[in-house]
Amino acid sequence: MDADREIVFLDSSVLISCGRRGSGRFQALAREAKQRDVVFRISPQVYAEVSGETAIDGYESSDLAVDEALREGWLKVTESPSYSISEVSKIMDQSRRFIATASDRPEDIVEKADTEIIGLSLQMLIDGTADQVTVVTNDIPLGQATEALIPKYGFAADQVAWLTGGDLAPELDEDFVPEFE
Amino acid sequence: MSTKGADWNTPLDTGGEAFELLRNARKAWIYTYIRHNTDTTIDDVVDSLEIPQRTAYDYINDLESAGFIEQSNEGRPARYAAREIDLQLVQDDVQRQITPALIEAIARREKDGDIDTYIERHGLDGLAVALEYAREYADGSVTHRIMAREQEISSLEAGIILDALRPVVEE
Repeated sequence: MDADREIVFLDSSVLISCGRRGSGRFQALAREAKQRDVVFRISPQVYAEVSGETAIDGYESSDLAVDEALREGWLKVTESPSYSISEVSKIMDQSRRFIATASDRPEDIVEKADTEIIGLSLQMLIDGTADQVTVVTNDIPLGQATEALIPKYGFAADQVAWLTGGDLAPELDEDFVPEFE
Repeated sequence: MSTKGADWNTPLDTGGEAFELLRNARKAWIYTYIRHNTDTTIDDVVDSLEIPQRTAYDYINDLESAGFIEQSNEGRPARYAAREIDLQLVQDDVQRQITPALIEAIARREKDGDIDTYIERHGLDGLAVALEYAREYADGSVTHRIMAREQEISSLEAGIILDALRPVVEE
C-alpha cells in the first residue's frame, strides 16, 4: 500500500492536547506528517472548534497553532461530508447511536463533529481517495466507533485505524506532567 | 459517580474552616505532594514548591492540626505522611465529596494556568464537575464534545480542562 494513499484525520482533542504543551508538540505533529508523507486533515467542524476565532480569554492554550499549521501545509481542512452518499449518512447516524450508547446518553447529545469525522473517513474509502484511513483522537468513544463501524461497509479491519495522540507520536505524551512524583 | 443528572447548584466555596484546603492552592499542593511522596521533609516541600521556608512551616502546621497530614517519624527533621481525605459536605440536601483527587486538581492550579482559569470561570463546583467528566473521559464513556454540550461550554474549553485533569485521574 502506498503511503500517499493513507489519510489521517486529527480530532480537536489531540490538537488541544498539543496546544497545552507548547509549540513543540505541533512541531512533533508536523514531523510525523512528513515522516508518513501525508498531509493531516481536519474536518470543517474540528476547524471551527480550534481555529483562532474560538480562542477563549484567559486560557493559555486556547490559541492553537492550527492556522500556522495550515499555512505550513502539513494540515488541511476537508470539505464537509457528502450526505447524498447514502452510506455516509447512514454511518453518521450509526456513529451517533454508538457514541450515545457508549456514553449512556441520549443521541441528541452527540455532536455532529464526532459523526462528521467518521462520515468523512468512510467517504474517502468509498470514493477511492484513500486505501486506509487513520483517525487520531483522544476521545475513546469516537475512536471505538471508527474501528467498529467502518469495516461493516465492506472494508478490511486494517484499512481503518484509531490512534490516540500518544500512539501517533509518543512524544505527544511526553512531559505529561507527573508534578508530584 | 456519574456526571449525568448531578446537581451542583450549591457552591463548594461556602464550606467551613476545613475547606481552607480548597481555597488555598499552595496548601492543596503541599498536601498532594506529601500524599505522593511519603516521608517528606519541609525542605523537600520548599524545594518542590519554591516557597519561603516560613510559609512551608506554617502551612504544614495547619495541615497537621487539621488532621490532613501526620508526622511519620519521631526524630528530626520531621517527616510527614498524608492521611486519606474523604469528607462529606452536606448542605441544603446536596451532598459533596472532598477527595484527594479534587485537592490535587486544585493544587495543580498553582502551576497550570488553564486549571486556574477554569476555576475563575466556573468556581470550585465547576472544577469538581469537570473532574467527574475527566474520570468518565479516561474510562472511555464520554467525549469532550458531550461534556461541552452538557455543561454549555465550548468544545475547546471542555478539551482544555479534560486534558489538564488527565494526570489527576490517570494515576
